[in-house]
Amino acid sequence: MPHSRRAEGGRATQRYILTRLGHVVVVVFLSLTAVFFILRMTGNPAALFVPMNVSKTSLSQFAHEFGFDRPLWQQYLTFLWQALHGNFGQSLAYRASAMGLVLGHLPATAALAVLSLALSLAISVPLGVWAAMRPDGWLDNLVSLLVIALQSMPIFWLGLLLILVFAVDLRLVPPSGREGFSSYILPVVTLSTYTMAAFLRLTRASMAEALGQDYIRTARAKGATPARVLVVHALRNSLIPLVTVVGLNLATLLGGAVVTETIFSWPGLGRLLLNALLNRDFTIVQAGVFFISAVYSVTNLAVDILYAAIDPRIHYT
Amino acid sequence: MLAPAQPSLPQAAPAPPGALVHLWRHLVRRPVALVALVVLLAAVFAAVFAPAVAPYGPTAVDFLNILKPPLTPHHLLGTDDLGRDELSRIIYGARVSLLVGGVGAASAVGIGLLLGSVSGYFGGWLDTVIMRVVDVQLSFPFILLVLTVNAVLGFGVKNIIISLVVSGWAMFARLTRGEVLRVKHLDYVTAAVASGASPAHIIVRHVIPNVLAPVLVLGTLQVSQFMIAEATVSYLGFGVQPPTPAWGNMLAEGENYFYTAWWLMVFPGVSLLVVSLAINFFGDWLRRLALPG
Repeated sequence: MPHSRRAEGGRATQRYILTRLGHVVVVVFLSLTAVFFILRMTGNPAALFVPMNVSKTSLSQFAHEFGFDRPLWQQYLTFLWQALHGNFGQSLAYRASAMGLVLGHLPATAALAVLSLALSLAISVPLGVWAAMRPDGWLDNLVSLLVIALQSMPIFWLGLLLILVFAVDLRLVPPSGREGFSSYILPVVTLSTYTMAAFLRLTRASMAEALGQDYIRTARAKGATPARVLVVHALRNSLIPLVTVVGLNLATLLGGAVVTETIFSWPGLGRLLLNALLNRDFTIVQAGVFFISAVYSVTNLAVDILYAAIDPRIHYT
Repeated sequence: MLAPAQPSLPQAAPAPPGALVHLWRHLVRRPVALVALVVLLAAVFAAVFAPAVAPYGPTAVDFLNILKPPLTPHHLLGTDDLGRDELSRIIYGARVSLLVGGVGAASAVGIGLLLGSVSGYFGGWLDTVIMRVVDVQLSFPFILLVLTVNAVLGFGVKNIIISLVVSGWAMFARLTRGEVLRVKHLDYVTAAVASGASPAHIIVRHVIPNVLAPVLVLGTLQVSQFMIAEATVSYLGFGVQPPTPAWGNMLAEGENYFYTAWWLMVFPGVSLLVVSLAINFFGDWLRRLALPG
């Protein structure tokens, strides 16, 4: 590529990234606004935020302490202003910084999510590629069945069955908690099934498409070995859409983490958020929503930038 | 998003005698889809006629027959900790599952179709607003959104349906919008505009019917996704609360007897899996039929 074109491309890239960062800010702002008003939709937030068995006086004291007695628009502006400074208020149950709690529970979830993603990809990519090599062969049909089975599976129940068989009956692994390597096995397997159907379907489809392209025929005609054609020519190109789908499946993965962590008593972000919802500890929910929508938006921005780096055909516009 | 159909699939007969006969011919050529349809109809039948089909009431307590294993006389699938008949509870649980899945998916499809076609057809600021809301929703884990909305609305069958619709319409809006953009400049729409038809008339009579196929296929698959989501949130203590039998809260109650009564953990899940499989196999057949290539 000539030097001047690259510089021009660099400016376009900068402009593109700035526009997309603007979108990220808008999406995160709208998420925060939505969650703020949704959580205050039903009546008195003070009553919503505290347990039922609290007396009237301590309720109004509580309302005053957290500012629920002020007009809604004031509360909203205060909320936004504090959020802008990274302050999401105190957790009502823990009496600790809500964002601090969210970040403190992050490592357990990140470990679970990364391992599950790795497992899911390690199974679905080879299987999808293999299925695509012989369209409508026995393996391709088996993979189609597997995709439907995975889509139909209530995964929380699959997790319960895994506990029933491998922890309760066979006593091979602990049924819950996060202590040592063996405690990772069941949660990682469970969470990996959330994304497996999507990855399988996509790898198979994009690999089948790549194998039908002219450049594959050219490579074969040139006398490249089948393995080289498969890996260098077809796989590299068919993995590009997979990168996007992995980014988009981050939401699925985090949703799966809420369920998986609760089933396995995993001390992560998902279980923290679920318990916060059950206990009406909504400052944690607000902090969690901010965190999730920011991570999702930034990851997908990064994915789109990465996309162009892998595929030279893509230019920013 | 959806895998392309297999090339060797049966194609439409050249001159079908009638739409139903045509569908039937397609169906018998794929026995899996036929079995799926039969299972689905059986589940719907059992759910609708639950009082006649179920041997006991769903909350009929029998303290003399507590935690009986499957194949006990008079209790095919055993009983739970209150001596309630598991089979009867599963049959009544099908009511909740199918109602939530069916009504929920139909409403999400309806709202998605409407907002998606308005967004795609008119464009401009309306399009920007609707699509920005869709972006925000889709950037958030579906199940967490359902839980949040459900925590605010309160529990119960009606509120879980609303929670699912509020959380699930966005993907149908996005899909519809994409399809509308595809057909918007086709000749028949241009002709309708030129002949002075109102936008509402064009959207309802010309645009929606031509973008319906992929939306309905996805909607069919969404029935099972909503059923699974309801069971998940009910298992987590939200959604449908005991004593109303739903497969999710039955699993939550059964979990207390993890070590002693495995059947309480197995049968509600198997029921959910079987009905979901039936819906997905049927939906897969529908997809190959409606969206060839």
